[in-house]
Amino acid sequence: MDSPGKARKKRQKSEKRKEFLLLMKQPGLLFAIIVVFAILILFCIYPIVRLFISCLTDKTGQLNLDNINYVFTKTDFFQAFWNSIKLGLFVGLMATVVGYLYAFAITRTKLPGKKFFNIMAILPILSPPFVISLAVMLLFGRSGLITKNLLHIRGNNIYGFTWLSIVQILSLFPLAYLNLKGMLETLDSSVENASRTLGASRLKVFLTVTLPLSLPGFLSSFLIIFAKSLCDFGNPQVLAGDYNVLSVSAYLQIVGLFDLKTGSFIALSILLPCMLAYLIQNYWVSKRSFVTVTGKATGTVELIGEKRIVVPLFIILLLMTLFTILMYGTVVYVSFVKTWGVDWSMTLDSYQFIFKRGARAIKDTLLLSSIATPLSALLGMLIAFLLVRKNFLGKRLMSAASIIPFAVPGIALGIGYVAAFNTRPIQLTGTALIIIVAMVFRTLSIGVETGSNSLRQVDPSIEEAAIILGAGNAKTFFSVSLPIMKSALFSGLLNSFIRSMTSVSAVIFLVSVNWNLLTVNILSEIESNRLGAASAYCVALMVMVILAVGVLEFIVNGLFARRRRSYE
Amino acid sequence: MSEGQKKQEAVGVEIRDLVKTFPAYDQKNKEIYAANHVTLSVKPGEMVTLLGPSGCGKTSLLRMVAGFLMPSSGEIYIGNREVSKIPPNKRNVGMMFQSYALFPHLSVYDNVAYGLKLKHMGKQEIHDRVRSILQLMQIEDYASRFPNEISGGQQQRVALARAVVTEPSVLLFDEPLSNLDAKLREYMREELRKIQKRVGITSLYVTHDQSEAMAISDKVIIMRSGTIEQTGTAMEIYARPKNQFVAGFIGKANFVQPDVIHSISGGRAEITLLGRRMMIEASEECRNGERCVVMIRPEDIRISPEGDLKARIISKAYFGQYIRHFLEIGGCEIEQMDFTQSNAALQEGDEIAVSLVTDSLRLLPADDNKEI
Repeated sequence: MDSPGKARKKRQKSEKRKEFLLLMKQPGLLFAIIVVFAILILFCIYPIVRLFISCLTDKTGQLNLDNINYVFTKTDFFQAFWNSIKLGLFVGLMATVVGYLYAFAITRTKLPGKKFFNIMAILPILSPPFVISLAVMLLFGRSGLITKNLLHIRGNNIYGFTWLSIVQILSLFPLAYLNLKGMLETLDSSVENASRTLGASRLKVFLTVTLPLSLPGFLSSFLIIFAKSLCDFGNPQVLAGDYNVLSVSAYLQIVGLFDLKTGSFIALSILLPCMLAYLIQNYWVSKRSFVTVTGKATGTVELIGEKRIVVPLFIILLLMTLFTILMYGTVVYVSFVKTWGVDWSMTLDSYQFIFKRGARAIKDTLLLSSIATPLSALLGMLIAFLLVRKNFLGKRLMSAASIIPFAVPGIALGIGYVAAFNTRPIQLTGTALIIIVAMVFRTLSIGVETGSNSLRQVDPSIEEAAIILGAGNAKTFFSVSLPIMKSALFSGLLNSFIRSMTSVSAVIFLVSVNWNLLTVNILSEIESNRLGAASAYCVALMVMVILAVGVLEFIVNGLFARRRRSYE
Repeated sequence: MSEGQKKQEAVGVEIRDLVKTFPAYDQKNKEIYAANHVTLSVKPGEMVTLLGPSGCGKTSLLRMVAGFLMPSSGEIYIGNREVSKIPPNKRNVGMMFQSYALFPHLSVYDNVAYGLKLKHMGKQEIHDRVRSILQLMQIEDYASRFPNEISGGQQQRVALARAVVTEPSVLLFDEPLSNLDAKLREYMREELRKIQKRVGITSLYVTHDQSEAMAISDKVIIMRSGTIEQTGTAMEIYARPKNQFVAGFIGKANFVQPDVIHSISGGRAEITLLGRRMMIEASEECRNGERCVVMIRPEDIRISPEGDLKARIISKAYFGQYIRHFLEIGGCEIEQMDFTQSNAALQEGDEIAVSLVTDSLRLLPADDNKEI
């Protein structure tokens, strides 16, 4: 038995060597792989490693745990940690339930107005993170329209767990909705039909078939939202008040007490539960998924039309939607009001203010996001192409590295970038470049993900056809793969543009006198209680995002338009 | 014929001692042979078919010639060039894919022109070549359409046009007809063959459909589990299969265990079959003392009153050109095809007399792990 084993090992070895030699013969491909690895290591792995090192060492570079000891004993770290976890668990559960309700209503019932509900559910993803927080302050705060003017409650306190969790649920449930909707749509509905034909009632079908089959999707949504809630910085910064959470506490340590080491350590401590949730989601839950993509049409599910089911669902969705509209409407309204709660006359004062004081920030935000977006999307598509279509050593590392900046809390990434790039050899702090780089890598995994998914659906022989006709790797990528990934490219571009425009936590430590961003301005306006200006900024940001959708659609369609010519 | 499709200097393909293994999924230390020391050659201008059940390694072999798969060991020659270390885009090979693999974002014209542009040809030359190949394929009217705007048969032609327009030294076909419906498939395979002969291009064709293989190829290679079972023309393989697997894979056959094998020598065997002693042909792979079976093709059983064997009709079915009977002869169930139409009145359950065409019977080594 020994010799065939040896022969096999030898053969595998020679095969590996041959594959390597073949790679060497494709210098373009080899170059692309090496360059991608280099930038991923520099901008995705190195900053986080630096963050770890700076927590564990003192100024001379010696291992020093005093810092950790200090955090554990002298700060309210454990309180904040427990608060964050509590918030994450509660928000994760509630947002997933709401998301499931939405997804079920839209995929399984004859609900009227599905398209409208769908758009309204996605809206919070597209908007800047504090719009809802801001609206809650305006409506329910001390001088809130509802609390003070309608209910005559004086000094209503919205700062703390209750409203923070409501705001997070409202802003995060769309993620669960999208995830669960996709899952319910791809779940083979013939099993539900089978259960029905076997004599089960609606409730029985739901309880014994649909719900158990949705559990993996449910769990994965829960984990994603748990992690998102933990990483969220914008909403807690505005609304947490005395309810101390980790992300805010890290920020305050750095900005308030100028203690970078303690801040770093606290930011890193968010990483642990986040990564844990992410790992469970990726390696455990996704393997238990019942979703089967066979490419075979499985017949449509029989939509539920009974009034006793549809009507309550409709009312719940309608109320949620009205609430959302109220939130956004309030922010828009406030941006045109002279002084909220005092003088209700209409004016453009707030806009004058932001275009005078914030013109630079608006310009910078647009410029930097516009530079970062195509870079991020293209790099994402390239990585997707390499991961899905090519074979090389270190594929898993490349895939993991591209996700790190997305999976770590923005605060941790921002501090990591400061720690990694504030001294030579690579001194980037204070430049536009560091903000661009942060935006590119923070949003990179969106491009990788959408690109990979669309490439996996494309028959690889289309690319092989190009290769066999004589196209090299670069030519194949640009003339075949990229045009085929057009729609993925579009959604990748759009997504990374929106994320870049609306990101707060990752860039808050990277802005400088020279380069400032809109979201950071919004935050400071809220903190100085200039809510009209904050609202105007939010509206401006939303308008820019909507315009960007149109412009991007135009560019991408123009770039890859199918040209029909006559060939005579 | 225009300049574009001028017969070029055709070259052959040689595969020498090719091995390709994959790790087995279920067992860690096992591996599966996609090619187990395969040696074969395709003469210049010849159309050779690789035929076998799914998983026999025929597609892997084709992909190794294309360059999409690295052989574990062995050599592949296209003409005089050893290509196993050359990337696929530098091998000058044409390929037709099972899914056609047309570029969805390019028009028919641009699909066909794609390979020519890569060769940095002049605009006018590209135009002329594309025109004349589209004409040859009778699809010039669709030049400005996109792949999703033409029918399956037309897509097929575009794929073929795109593959041959660059004048590759070898053309590879990966089950190109399997996505067409039965009628169109039969029509397209004649077309394919005509165009292949006209262009005179050396071709390697993979299929699992035996009638397709028989219809289009100069030579058929039967494969099983990474090894070549038999090579020859369709007629040679049908009439003189080497073993039970090949006989069962090409055409239909009954396999009956002889009562006694008296002797095997010089390609002949003396046996007793269904109580009759006879001399029949034997495969050179038959060995004395090993289990052998007799191949009886369904058309080699004749129904006639003078027949020396008693049979009973178990079931019958009418197929137009022939009637198929399942007969019980000496305790065996045997399929019979009757092309004479003179026995249409026979009923299930009838006792009849039949005779065997002993010249066509053949003794074959039995296949104890039949994988058909």
